[in-house]
Amino acid sequence: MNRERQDIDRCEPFRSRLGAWLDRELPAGEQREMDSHLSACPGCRKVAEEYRTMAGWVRRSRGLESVVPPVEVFWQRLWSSLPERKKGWGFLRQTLQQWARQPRYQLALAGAIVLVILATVFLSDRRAAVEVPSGDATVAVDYEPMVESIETGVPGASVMVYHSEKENLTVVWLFTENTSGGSLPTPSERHI
Amino acid sequence: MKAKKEKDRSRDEDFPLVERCRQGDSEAFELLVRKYYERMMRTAYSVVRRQEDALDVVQNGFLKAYQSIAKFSGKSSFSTWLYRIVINQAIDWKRKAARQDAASLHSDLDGKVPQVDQGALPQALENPRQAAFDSEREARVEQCLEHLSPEHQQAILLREVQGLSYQEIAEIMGCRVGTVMSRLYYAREALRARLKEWL
Repeated sequence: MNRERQDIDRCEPFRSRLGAWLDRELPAGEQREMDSHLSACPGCRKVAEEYRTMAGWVRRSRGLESVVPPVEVFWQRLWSSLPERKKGWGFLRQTLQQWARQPRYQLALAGAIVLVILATVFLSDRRAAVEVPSGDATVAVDYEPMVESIETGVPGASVMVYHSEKENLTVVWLFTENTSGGSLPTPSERHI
Repeated sequence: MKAKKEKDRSRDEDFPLVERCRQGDSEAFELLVRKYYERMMRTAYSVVRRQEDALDVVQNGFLKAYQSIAKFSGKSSFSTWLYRIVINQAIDWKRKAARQDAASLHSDLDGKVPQVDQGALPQALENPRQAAFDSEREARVEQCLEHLSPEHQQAILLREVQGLSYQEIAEIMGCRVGTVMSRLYYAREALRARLKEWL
């Protein structure tokens, strides 16, 4: 009994560190000290073995035994549960930020605005020649040439359009930071 | 102080993705989900013990992370922060389930047959005595784990099931490494005392 008590007392400083030794979490010096003690102490070796066995039981009891659903399935489920506003705003903000960073998107945006302006130009009533009575005949009256200037909202990028029905001419200027205010003639300045 | 914060953030390998998430980059969020999905599933499962519940817990955890990413200070790593969210979600889920159905939870603890490992079924047919023995032992292990305090249970699961380091466990549990060490020691000794006849 005394001998047993002595063994327990001797092993006490090592028992509290057995788990950390098993987990390889002790500093190098202490790890070696434990190696040395365990090589000479069957009692502590037995406890270490019991810790190891229990760890396996806990993993089996609480580990994820069945197949985890594929992450693609999980992602679709998660994405569809995100609040619409959060998803939409994030996507829109991301898209706008991408456009602000890349010159090609700036030009693409400017081109889209040009198309909108041209469509407006051609569809607008005030661009159509109006026939007005003049004596016994009617005369086609052309409006003044139209000049429009649009700020795109993209830094350094703006659009200017000149249109004249009379001359059958439309000129579009695209201004970006790269061109330093110079004009970029469109492929055809007369027929758009 | 600011320099230390910057240094801590740059050591976190997820920092670039987290920053993109803050700006609403859903692609960055998807990458983080793919990276941590399985780990979070194992963490949640180790607490709630049902796959379908674990899926819900992990989904709620990622949702909460997505909605709170702007508030993430960067004091800990992103993975630690995510672990804490998912563990808290799992604990809340379990408490709610216990409140809703306390009676069935007790019967689960008393005579629970652990979820069947599909691969084990043929072995059970071949060696029913061994299968019954294993089943009884697993039920006993489950009871012993439930008897541990939440801190001791959490420490032992993060170590034995997740394989996390003491430093990682300390960050998740918000304590020192020395505290993790003593919690694990206590948990292991408590389990050893209760499972003596099986060892």
